[in-house]
Amino acid sequence: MQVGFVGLGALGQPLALNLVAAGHTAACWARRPEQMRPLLDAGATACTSAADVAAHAEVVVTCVADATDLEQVVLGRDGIADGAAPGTTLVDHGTGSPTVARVIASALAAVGVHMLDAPVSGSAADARARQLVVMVGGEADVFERMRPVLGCSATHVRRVGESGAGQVARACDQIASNVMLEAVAEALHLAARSGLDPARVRDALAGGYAWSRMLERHAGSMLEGRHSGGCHARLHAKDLNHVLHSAHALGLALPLTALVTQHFNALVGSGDGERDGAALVTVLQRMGRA
Amino acid sequence: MNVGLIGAGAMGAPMARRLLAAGHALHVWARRPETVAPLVAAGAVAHPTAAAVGAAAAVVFTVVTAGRDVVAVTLGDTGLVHGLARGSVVVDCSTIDPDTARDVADRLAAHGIAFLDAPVSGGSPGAEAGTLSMMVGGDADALARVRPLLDVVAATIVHIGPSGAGQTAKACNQLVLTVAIAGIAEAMALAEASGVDLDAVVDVLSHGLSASRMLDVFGRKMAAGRFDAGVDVRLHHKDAQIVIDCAAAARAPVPAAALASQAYAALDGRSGRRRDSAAVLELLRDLRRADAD
Repeated sequence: MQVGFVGLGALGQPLALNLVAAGHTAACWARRPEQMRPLLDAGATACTSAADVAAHAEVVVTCVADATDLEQVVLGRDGIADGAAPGTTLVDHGTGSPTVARVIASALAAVGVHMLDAPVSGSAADARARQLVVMVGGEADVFERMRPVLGCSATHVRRVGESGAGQVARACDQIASNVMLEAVAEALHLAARSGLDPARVRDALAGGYAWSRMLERHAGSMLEGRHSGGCHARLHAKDLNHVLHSAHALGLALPLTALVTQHFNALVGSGDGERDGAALVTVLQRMGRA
Repeated sequence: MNVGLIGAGAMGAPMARRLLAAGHALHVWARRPETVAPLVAAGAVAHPTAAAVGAAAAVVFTVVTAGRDVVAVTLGDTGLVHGLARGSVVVDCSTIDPDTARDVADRLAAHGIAFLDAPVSGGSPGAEAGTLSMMVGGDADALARVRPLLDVVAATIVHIGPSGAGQTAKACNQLVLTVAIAGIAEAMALAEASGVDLDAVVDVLSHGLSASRMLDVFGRKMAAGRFDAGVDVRLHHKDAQIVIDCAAAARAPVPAAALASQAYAALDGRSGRRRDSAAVLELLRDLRRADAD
């Protein structure tokens, strides 16, 4: 297929490279041209704008920072909507807002362009290893047609409902995983402050009901004080604040999410915004320090 | 003097009555004319647009709900900016986020109009009595010019700093009281679950280190089981979100405020009649009731 890319950041780049490796023909554009380099080296064509990318593609894949950026590259000046022919499909892999996804989908539907909100769960390393989880919102037949694109970097691809549903599922994913991460941090903190070897406690937990992917992935880094390599704390803070805004609009209480968000906020405020989620344990350590 | 007021709600209406009583010529506008009918009956002049209020007055108070309402009445198609002369002053008593306040101030400054963010604390009773506490952000000269008018509605007026600083101070104020209400509700729930008389607890607490205005107001409402609209819980929910947004912008963690805010979110999302924030106690009761839905 003719695939176009907009948004070649930490996550977008491996997603795009996997599609090229799978034999799709690629065109791309990035605000910072140097971000296109690896993809151009892999044989992709450089374009002059998001609209230009859309004009060269049957499928446009976006992976930008947030909902505001997405609106800009799709509906803004020289955006995807300006260049896309009727019948084109937009697949958005970014984490954003369900409301904005629905607004964009209906704006595009008016000009005959399909859209799937398809945010992913997993890191850049997971993307390189093709081990992401993709949660998709949009029409079922569009989803079926896009399977070859959606499955390129993923072990699990699931359509959860109509437009916006993928972003709702992603918000649920963030709630559950970040609350879990805080729980792992608190458990290890208690173990360490009680004079136990927290690594042994970690191993014991991993064999029982407290096992989780977050324990598996982050407990080791928490114990070793290695807090880099994963998704930045400031991005966790930003995404969770967006989740809380959605909950605010619904009149919905998410008490633990609200609390974890503040611990990420503390990390950002202490200058640790570029460390990853495992740094949550340092917030607890600081609370106990004189 | 000719004074304008937009937003004759629970706070705006008593402020308007005080300005009339002080002998000022009051100009008003509301989206729904029936809102200002009682003020017109008391001598105020109703106008067809906010711009027309601006054309009739050199100082205009705005007392609306959300940041977007402030933007609409000041900068919208028929907003104040289209009527106010250079050198006039807008005093915004709404509780909104500091960023919006700074933005509106900048955009009005381009037209030679001063904008003060001047949120108030003290509720409708404070507005009736003219004893509000007002925290002001913006130009000190503009504040000095309108100060005699502010004295009509507020007993305490503090210039906090430049534009937005008043709203930041109000966010701090709302942080304290939203957390306080949640704490008082938990104390009441504990007393109730332990079979202790709530009135007695409120009485004794109010003489000790728990003494606070919030205990006086909300502790008594909770003890009396009065959960009907006094302070609409939706307003505290809105304010709590402003606190969270300010905290994110300042990168300052506010864990207690974040947790408390979720109680207001839960109440706001409930169907049925409007509730006062004292209903946080109801929420806690429902948490220990097996058949709550």
